[in-house]
Amino acid sequence: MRFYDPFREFDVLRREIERAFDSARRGGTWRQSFLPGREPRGYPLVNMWEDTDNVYVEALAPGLNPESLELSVVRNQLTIAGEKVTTNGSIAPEKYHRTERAGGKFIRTFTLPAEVEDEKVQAEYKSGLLRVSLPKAEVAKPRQIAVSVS
Amino acid sequence: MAENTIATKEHEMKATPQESTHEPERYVTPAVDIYESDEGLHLMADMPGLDQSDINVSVENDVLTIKGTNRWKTGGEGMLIQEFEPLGYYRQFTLGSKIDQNSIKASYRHGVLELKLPFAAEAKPKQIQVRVA
Repeated sequence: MRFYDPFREFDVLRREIERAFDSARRGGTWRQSFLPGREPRGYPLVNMWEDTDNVYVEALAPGLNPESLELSVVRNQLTIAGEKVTTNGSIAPEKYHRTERAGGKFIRTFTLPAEVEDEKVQAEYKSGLLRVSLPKAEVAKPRQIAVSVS
Repeated sequence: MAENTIATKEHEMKATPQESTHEPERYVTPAVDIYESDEGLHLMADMPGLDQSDINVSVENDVLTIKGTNRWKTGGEGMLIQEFEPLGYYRQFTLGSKIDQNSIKASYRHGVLELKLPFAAEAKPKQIQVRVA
């Protein structure tokens, strides 16, 4: 049961506008919003970069149950799955003053720029950040070819 | 039923206007859950990537301030996907008079800051025995 609350209406309107702008933001130069609450979009947010030997992935994922985290690599596909713990269910709805943190199960798959050595992938979850380093397979590394000048 | 629902509002923490004016370029507003139990209010805020020394929680003039300074760096030369950049966190709440401001406890685990704000003793619900004669 819900009572009419004008501020809630504002909040709904704000979200609608944010959603409308979101598509423009993705294509354009807008800064990605950091830690979106319940917006329907990729979770967790990820940065990925590479150097000659490794691919690095960093995911912003606070409040996970570390045991639920599952990482898998198949060829050049990295999949991150897990569950963000919520207080939902254990607390009566009328006891909430604010609920902005989203939660639940998630899964996200990325295409890596090269094939990686799946036995040597390392992952660490610390203070809400998941850091993964994936060594590139030997065949995928750039090779310096000596040019002989005759 | 209506009276019952409204009665809890006196404990409520309200976001203060300051939160939107505080250097918005360098800080983000962390998402929070606030819920109530018999002992007090619980606040949980998503603030990933901090060390203990980066977190600052303070109360001044009935205003609770949560601040986090992000010092970690992300990314490198060959950026492939960039969806976030590390920023600081900042948010303020006005505390209701029922909160015992000297007994606020904070902990940080897996990137979530959890605050326990107990009610002052006189604000806790009291059970009154009814005698049936």
